[in-house]
Amino acid sequence: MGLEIQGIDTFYGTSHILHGVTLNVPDGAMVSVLGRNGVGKSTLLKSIIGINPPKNGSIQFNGADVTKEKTHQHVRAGISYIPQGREIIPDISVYENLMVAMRGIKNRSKKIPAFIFEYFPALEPTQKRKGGVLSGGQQQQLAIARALIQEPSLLLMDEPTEGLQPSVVEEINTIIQRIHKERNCSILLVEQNLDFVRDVTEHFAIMDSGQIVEEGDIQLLTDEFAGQYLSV
Amino acid sequence: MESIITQFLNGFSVVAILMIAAVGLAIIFGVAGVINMAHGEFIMVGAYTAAVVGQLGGNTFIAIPVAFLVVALLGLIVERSIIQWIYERPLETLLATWGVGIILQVVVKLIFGPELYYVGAPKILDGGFRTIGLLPFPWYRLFLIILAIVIMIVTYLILFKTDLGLKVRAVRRNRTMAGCLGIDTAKVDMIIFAFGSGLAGIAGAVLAPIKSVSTTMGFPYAVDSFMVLVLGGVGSLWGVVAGSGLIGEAETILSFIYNSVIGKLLVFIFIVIAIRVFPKGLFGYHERT
Repeated sequence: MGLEIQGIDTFYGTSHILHGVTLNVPDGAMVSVLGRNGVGKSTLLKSIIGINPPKNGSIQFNGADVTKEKTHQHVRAGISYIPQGREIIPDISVYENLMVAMRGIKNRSKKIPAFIFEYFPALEPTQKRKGGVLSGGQQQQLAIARALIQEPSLLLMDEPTEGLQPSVVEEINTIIQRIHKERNCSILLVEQNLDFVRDVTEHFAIMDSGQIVEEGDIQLLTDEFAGQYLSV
Repeated sequence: MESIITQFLNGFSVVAILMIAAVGLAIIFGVAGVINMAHGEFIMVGAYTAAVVGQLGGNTFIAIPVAFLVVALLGLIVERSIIQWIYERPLETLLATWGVGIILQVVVKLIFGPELYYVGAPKILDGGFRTIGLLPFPWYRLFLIILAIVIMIVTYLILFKTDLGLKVRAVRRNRTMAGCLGIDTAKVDMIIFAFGSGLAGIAGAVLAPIKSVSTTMGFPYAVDSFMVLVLGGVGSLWGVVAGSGLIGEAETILSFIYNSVIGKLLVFIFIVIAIRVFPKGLFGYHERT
């Protein structure tokens, strides 16, 4: 059970990005994907969520074949996605950004569930402001809140701390750990920060040129080992 | 001076017609990213619907909702059978909708014949009232102005106060992310195409009493609607209001001072200069990527 990716090939137009990627995210696990820029980490997440569906191979989620499903069907099946760059919808309010996420899973309530503001108290006073005017850190909080409000069983995160100042990075990382523990949600995390990955994930996979070249328990991920693939 | 003011008031009814004709086109383009070249023919089908309703004994008030439903259904069929497969290819949507327009003209001509149809305005709107000056202001024009305002308000409420509108605004601004939040973007496109088409149907229904109904009657209104969009900018209801307002008033007043040919010419020149200064229109910002 959980997410089972079996030998997927993904293309951008004619260029072949993912070459037979196989990866499992068991129920309740937290798996990190590492690798240099441009090796296909983001494409892997986009293949799973259906923005860029794979040409060959299969993706199973909780036992069902979801390879050919549309993006919104993945979301309704319990996979939420936090893209790189956050992708807050800029000209609608913070409240409306959260509402879109709720309507996306057919939740018709007009009230934002209280637990959202327990995780992100800083968002509560910003609800009426446009998404586009928030700071980078607030936008990232909103991006996570938007996914969390859907109460997913699997969360895909693409470099959630990229471009944020160190104090904010720490805050976000704490929240990711809390979500994993408290919301009963497995996480597939694309991340560059080795220390954080070692702190929170149980399992890792390293990608290079569109393939998974190493994977294993997090204890194996020593600096030397990671350096082989991650140093520039 | 007094007659200029009268013309200014008359201009409001031209503005109203422009708004009613353009808003459907603007919504389809703004959200779904399709330039509907069959827009004029959708208006025409709305007018023929009004003609049929008239022959069955109904008046414009009945024709408006009937034309909305008929043309919305037509739009839905066109979207499901053709447009949904080619959204990502703007050039093809252009050609396909143009083709749909030609087919509609021929089919309507086959069914109704080449003769013109005349539709009367509702009796209650016969005649007019005197404003300042000597020329009477017809009730039907006042009705058009009120209808245009009602359509704009209803459209505004749908876009900004309903769940559907929220989804529409999310899709319009960031299609991929809206999908990643669980919105069925294809369904939103479909609903918007049908809704925008239905609005074209209303335009046809209210034009029928002031124009003779023929298969080619929609074309000038389609052209005017495109000018409204170019000037006002797509993706904003204010763009439709501003574009219609400027073009309608300028055309009416300039046509009165000079004549209708020079009036139209000056308006075209004005639009060319305006889009040189505001390349995206007065209120526009959106492009489908």
